[in-house]
Amino acid sequence: MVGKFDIEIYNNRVHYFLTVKRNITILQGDSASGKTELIRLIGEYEANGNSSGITVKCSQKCTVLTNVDWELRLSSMTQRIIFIDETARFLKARSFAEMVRGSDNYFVIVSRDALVQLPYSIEEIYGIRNVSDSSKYKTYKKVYNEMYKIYNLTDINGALEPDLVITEDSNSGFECYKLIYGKKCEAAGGKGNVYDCIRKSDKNNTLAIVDGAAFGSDVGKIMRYLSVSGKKCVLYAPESFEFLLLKANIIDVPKAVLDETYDYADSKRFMSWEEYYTDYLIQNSQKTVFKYAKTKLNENYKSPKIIEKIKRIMPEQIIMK
Amino acid sequence: MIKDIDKSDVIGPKSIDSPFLGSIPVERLSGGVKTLILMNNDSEHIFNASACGDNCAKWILKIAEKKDLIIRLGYLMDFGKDEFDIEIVNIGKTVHNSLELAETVLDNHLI
Repeated sequence: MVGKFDIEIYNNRVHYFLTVKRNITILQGDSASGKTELIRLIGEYEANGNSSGITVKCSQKCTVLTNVDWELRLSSMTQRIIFIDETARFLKARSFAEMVRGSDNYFVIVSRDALVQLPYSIEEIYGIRNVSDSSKYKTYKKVYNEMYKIYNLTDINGALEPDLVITEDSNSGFECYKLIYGKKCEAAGGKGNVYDCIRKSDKNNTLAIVDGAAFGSDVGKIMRYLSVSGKKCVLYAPESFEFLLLKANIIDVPKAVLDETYDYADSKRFMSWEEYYTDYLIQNSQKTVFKYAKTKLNENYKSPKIIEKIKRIMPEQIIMK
Repeated sequence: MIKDIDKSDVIGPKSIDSPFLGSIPVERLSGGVKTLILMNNDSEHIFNASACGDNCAKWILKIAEKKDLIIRLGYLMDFGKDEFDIEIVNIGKTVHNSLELAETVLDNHLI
């Protein structure tokens, strides 16, 4: 499924607004903020339609998936937005992750626990927010929004001069960041190791560069650790390294591919936008001098002119003069 | 707990007055409050505290003042800045503040 969908759900008591644009959206937040009520309304509307007194406005069918026959039901669904409450026992099951891969549906999941088997974006983790004082109108705001892509930066005045740069990527991405940051750059070798690198570091200023499009399951723990430890570490989370290369305009990329990725990254083919950007870059650079491979960075990307182009699209606060 | 977290009043043994949802049965209390009530009243089972948000943390500590409370927790709940005694049963270590808790949980890859 592709596309961006506005969802409006209401009865005479509560009113929700929500936009989903990737295959996986996560809802979190305090108890009693209305997450389960949202799912209850959708379930009730599904069962009784308009006579439920509930209105659901969305161009796609919204449905609730519970523990009952979930595999059977999920395998028969297409082109739907599927809501799952935290009480679903299968959320952490490998079989569920396997069914999400290649699914023609979008999933909205209520879960405070990290779902490590699912590559969801830090951009699609939302907390509920009341729009008005009456608490009738509820919408969802990003927990880690655009500003937080460079998380913690507000705590640091002006530019960050990192003593250590940790990169999630250990192949092409690391080679490129090493050209930007030199010896200060260290590869974590996977998103699961980013915490260990931050924890072991005794440096004053650390910059961690991660692939935001699939870092959702780790961002909560790392941000919590940084908040209680007071470590000066900035997390920079562009969608992915390949996204940076595409955005740097090294090869011709239609603007819509990057700005409206939701219309292109089909959930049936790509489990995350990170996979989509990688595929797009590989396919479209194949017959050019910038032929891209994830394992080793093509020498042509290492020229000072290209590195300069990449630096220009990174936030200026994290680029050393 | 119902007043603090759900902002609701108990108007009878089976009825709750919620400012957002109107008159509701106890089954429609928030998942967090229902879990806290079970933690408080049922010592036979281990309950999943991931159903509780950060706003339930102080109540979990409060219940644990009265009795030893074993919970299952799958995320780094914010237990506040004060000292506490939480034993992480998986590794048999007791931690006393939020930093110790986060480091022990993450160092041992418990979540």
